Amino acid sequence: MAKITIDGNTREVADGTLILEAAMEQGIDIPTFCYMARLAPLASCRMCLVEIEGQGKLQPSCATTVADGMVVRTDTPLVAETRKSMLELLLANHPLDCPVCDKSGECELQDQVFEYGAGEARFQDQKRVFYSKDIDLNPVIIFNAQRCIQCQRCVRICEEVVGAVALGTVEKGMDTKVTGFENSLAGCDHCGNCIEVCPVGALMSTPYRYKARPWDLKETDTICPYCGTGCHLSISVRDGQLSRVRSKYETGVNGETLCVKGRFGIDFIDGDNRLRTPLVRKEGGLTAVSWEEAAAFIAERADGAIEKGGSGLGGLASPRLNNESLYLFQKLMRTAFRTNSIDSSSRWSAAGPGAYQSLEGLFGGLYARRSLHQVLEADCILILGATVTDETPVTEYMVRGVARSRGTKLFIASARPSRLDSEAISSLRFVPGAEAYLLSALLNGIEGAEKTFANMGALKKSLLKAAKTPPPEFGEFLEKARTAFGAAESVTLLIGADLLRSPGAAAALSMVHGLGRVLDALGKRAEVQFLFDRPNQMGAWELGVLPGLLPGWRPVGDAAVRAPFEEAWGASLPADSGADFRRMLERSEAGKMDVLYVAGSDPLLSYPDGGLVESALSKARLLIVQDAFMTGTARLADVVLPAATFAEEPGTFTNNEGKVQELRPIRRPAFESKPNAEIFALVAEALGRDLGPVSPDAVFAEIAHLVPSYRGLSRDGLGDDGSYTRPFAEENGGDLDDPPLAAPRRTKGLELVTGDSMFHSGYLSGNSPVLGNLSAKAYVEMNPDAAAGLELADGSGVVVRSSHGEMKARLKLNKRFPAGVVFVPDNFADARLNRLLKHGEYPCPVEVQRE
Amino acid sequence: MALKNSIEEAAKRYPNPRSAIMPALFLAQKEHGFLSGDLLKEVAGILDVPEIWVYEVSTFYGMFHTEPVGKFHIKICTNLSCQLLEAESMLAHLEKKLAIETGGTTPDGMFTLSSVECLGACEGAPMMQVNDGYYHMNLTTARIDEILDGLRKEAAE
Amino acid sequence: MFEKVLLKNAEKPDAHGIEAYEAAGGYQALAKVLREFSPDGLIQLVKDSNLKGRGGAGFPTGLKWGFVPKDSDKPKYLCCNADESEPGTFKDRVIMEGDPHMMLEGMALASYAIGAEVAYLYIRGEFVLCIERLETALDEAYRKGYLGRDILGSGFNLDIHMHLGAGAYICGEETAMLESIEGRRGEPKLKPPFPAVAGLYECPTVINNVETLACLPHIVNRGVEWFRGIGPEQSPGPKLYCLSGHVQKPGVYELPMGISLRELVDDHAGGARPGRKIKAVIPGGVSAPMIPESGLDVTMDFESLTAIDTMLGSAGVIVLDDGDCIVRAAKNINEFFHEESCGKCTPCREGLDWTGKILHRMEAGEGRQGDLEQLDFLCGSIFGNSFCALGDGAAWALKAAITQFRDEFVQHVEEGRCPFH
Repeated sequence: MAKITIDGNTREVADGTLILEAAMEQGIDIPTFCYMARLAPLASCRMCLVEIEGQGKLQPSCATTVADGMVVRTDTPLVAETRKSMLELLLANHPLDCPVCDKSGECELQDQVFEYGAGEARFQDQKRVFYSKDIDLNPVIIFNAQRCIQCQRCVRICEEVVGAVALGTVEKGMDTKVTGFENSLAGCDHCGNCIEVCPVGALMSTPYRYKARPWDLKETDTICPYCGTGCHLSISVRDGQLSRVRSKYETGVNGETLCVKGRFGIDFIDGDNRLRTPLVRKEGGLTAVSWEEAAAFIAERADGAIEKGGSGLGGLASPRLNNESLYLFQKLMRTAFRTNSIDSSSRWSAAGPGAYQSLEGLFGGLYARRSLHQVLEADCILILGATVTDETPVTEYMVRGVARSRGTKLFIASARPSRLDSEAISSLRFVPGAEAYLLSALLNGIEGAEKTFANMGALKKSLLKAAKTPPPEFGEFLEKARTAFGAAESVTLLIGADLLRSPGAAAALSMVHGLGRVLDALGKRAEVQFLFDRPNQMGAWELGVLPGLLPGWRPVGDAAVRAPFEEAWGASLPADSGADFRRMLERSEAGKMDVLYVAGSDPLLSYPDGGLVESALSKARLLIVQDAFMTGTARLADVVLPAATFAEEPGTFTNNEGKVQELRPIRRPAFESKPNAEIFALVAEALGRDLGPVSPDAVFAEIAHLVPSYRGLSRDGLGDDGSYTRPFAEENGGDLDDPPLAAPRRTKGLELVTGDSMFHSGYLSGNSPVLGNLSAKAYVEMNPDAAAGLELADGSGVVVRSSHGEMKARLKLNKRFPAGVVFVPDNFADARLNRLLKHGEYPCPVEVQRE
Repeated sequence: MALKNSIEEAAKRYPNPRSAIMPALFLAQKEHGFLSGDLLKEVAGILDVPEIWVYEVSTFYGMFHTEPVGKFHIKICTNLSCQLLEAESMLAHLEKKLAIETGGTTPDGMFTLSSVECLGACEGAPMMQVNDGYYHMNLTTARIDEILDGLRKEAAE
Repeated sequence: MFEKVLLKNAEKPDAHGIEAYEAAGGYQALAKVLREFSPDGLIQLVKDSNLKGRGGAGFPTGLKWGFVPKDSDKPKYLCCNADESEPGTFKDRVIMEGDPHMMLEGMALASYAIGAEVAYLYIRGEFVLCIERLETALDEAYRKGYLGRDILGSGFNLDIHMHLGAGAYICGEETAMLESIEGRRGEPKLKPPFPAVAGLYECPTVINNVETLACLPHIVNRGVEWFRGIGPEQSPGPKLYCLSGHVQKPGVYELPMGISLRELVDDHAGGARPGRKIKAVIPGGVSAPMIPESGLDVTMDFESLTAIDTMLGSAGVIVLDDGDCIVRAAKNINEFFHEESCGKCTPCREGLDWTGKILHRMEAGEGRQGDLEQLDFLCGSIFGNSFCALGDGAAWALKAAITQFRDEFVQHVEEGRCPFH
């Protein structure tokens, strides 16, 4: 600690604190432009200069750390005069075009001139002009160089936080400007964090340009609907129209950062493809009807089927729906449709019952339900089966932050490369399927680990089976990881969506358990979090949108488990184990599906068997699709129910940290659409059931009452920063089974993997005009040498063919791609990627040829 | 390929590839005359560093040219010691002889004329340098004419 | 009689090869040190010599070396600052052209002292002849075993790599130079951490000027007493002075530290041109405030010049006579700093643009009432507030010109023309 006196007030502050920060803590305002808490100090704007006793010159408080006995003055005439002159210098060449500047009204330069500046401007010569017109750096970022005050926040956030290294500083002296390579940011993330941190109107958002004055905006704080990071968004609306999306430093896991989807992709709520009214299939196709007619139609067509019983009915709901909707969906399916065939993930070919059992164990204990920032404080982090940069970008920023600032030892094992690899001690490229093998081999090599295997139950067998001398391509990675894990006191494992696509998912999840146990036995703290690329996967699972499991991972087959739910819901519940979505489709294909209810999901696009899903969906006798958009699946439906988007209904999401955060509507649902919860109630009512009160408060209270991990939470108590759910198991999640260990597959050919891209995740992003513009078409990403071997050129049209089907797209070469892997993003409806795929086969062997 | 090899050779002098950006740009400029966007990309590719890093460096340092320059780049110092000894009239003379303004290139692409900052040879003021050649010191208008004639002759050969 | 050591070889024709250097006793200091001195012993020797850095700041060299942590397991680096670019300065060029091995031997000595096995020689890219001579000299030194592995059988290893600057004066600032070697824009970095602790690649680094390094072999060979016997007590040793501008015999002069400026200009450099009188002298490169003729009796050492609010700097002495316009000179100097400002900090970037525009108008006869007061304000705003010494130096130099010759500035504004042109 250091005793420091600022403007006469003496306080003790932690060593290493900057004077600026110490002053802020005392409520003393020191103006600055270049300082940002999360960026390395630059000390270039010279606004924060202060007097320090014993120092001849004023010192930058943003870059000077406190020292014991230091006496600082921020309130002297010299300091005031200096601030005034720095502002006068900054304004000398500033265009002072405030009336037409988007930033006006929330401009830090304006504010500081108002607070600290001089009343007059003495500079009377020609001002510097870089360009007569603003530069479109890319479709979302526009640049006015004249207004720039060279604080370099943008360049630094791009490099230090985002890691894109797209923005830079070019030229020298008065000609210095920030820009991208050759004045373009065409290849950057388009995340717009540079816009967010710009104190003036130099970097501006193109979609927001000339849309509003800040004081005309109504701002609502809510949660991003794209991935499970659960970033806070502040959405501004002017006259009912979405104006812009920002974020705030003070709140949320993300601070002021967002990714391109969060910042620019929320415009999907106004996408052209929004459903306007309920639709019912009549002769001549889907026809607009009233809500009453749609409900009556469902009642009429579903009645007989419900009486027949469970196996002919089923439902799929999206992990993008909020907790309350998901909870009501499963309640509706179980009580009104009387089926346990409920699922919340159509994408993952391998996440079957075995995987769910492991998941329950994980979520019961090992899963870290606490802030990602804390989880990342481990000595060692392993990211398994994730392309973090594309799937959960803001999480990626945070991982980069700890790797750089804390020297955390980072390991990445994934199919696809990403720029996070450059922060890692070692990165391993492997095709999905060998995750359990990899973890087992890793554990085997940690010093002293083998002695703990005896206590690992059935898992012992597979642990011992794993090769101690792994295949050469694993060698270096394993060696470094074993050493680092061995030396670490705490280890964090972050698991991505890729792992859940893998045919080895169940085995891998068992092994994750094993890892936790073994590390625990070695006296290390082990924590796990998922890196879901959907905002509420954790909520969907924990609230019972799973086959055979009631909310809270409770087996529905157990009468004692059912009893409290039956009592609370006033209904008897079916006891069968239900079907997952794959079995629902198989039944439908066999002509045995009477009612299939799809809420917020587009399995026609995402289910990894394009042939089956199209045929099976068409064969369902009554296909109900509830969505905000006219999806491919909706086009096949018999009834289409227009639903609110995340921004038009209240509710909560549970993010990857297990944190429940409140969604606040920014407006009422568009057109005739209704909140999902209300639609479920309406359907239940048509079927003669009462779902009970569906207000967000009531539903949340019911969840908190029935679901152990939500016990004690209240909607009122969530506040701005949300509340963590809690582990519900006494110990580390039950018995360990003995998963099959698939050794790494080696094929000579190419293997297709899929997933999110920077700009898209699932069908939602495709409904965003901005994201659609940034990335309009599917592409095939592969290694240049592999492409050269096939005589394929960058940008050329190629055909990707599997034993099930083919697709066409342009080739995109990436020298960091492993030679045997091909990636196609999974969101482009036109590409019909899933026609190539077969359930349970992942990755998919393919050939790539010239078109 | 030759460029790639020489850049990779230069990179061995440093513990990381970013350090080799400056030597790489010198090598690239020597081979191609100036640093086009494609050339900057190529350098970034060879060193496996972000393109913007190469772009930043190429624009910060005065000896790197991101635009084409003439076959003979005449750089005359106009800083104080040279200015006191009539560097400005030497510059005016060059402008007149070459019929271009400072910063310009003759239409035949033969000469580019720049006024530069101190070249560290003030004892021989006024002075200039042509391309990466030895310094020409103690300039007079007659000496300049002689040098220009020599350059023209060199070009003709 | 003062005996030249720094220019002894350099002034001989074609003495830049290793044979000539060896014949004059070259590399004997390195051999002696490797044989007889521990690194700490060499540091102590240099501390005892009271050698002060010849790059401009005048920081004691031995003390600087002593800041390098002994217990760090990181590699240590020596960087030779051969980015001589301050208008009026050309001494390092003369050493490197004429006697490159002297500096290389100095680099080897400094590297040995601080425990560096890699040294970078940051030389401005325009110094074509120096670069050629140094390339040859490096080859020769490696061939003769003065560089490379196990130098002279001592177990000491050293590689010296040249890193060519590319036309940026700011890279003479030591942290900017390190940024430049790391492949970045040459913008000065925050201190602390100081380079001795976290410099090049975040490793302990010492940056020494060419002339400083060139002194080292002589200190080793001739001893501390010899060195301290030259010039004033507090900053002793031989010194290179660069004379340019309106003086009869411009050139580099090796003379003791502490010689009087008048003697230097009048006796050694031949004084003013015939028929002219000296009006002002800039003693240490254009960032050093000019001294009016009346002040020429000052002695040329760090302390004496600092005492009269100027500095020895690079010892680049520029002479202006009564035919030279101070406003024009000030404008020229300002243009240099404005052009060479890296643009990082507000006062230097914006302030020098503003001062430049005023000076341009004044010299063009378009000065306005209030201009001079604005220049005063701007000098005050830049000086002491800029990130590095570039902005400070520019403002300091301009302020001195205005203070010493205010009448000339007033005359420009009032007459609406330059009285000299």
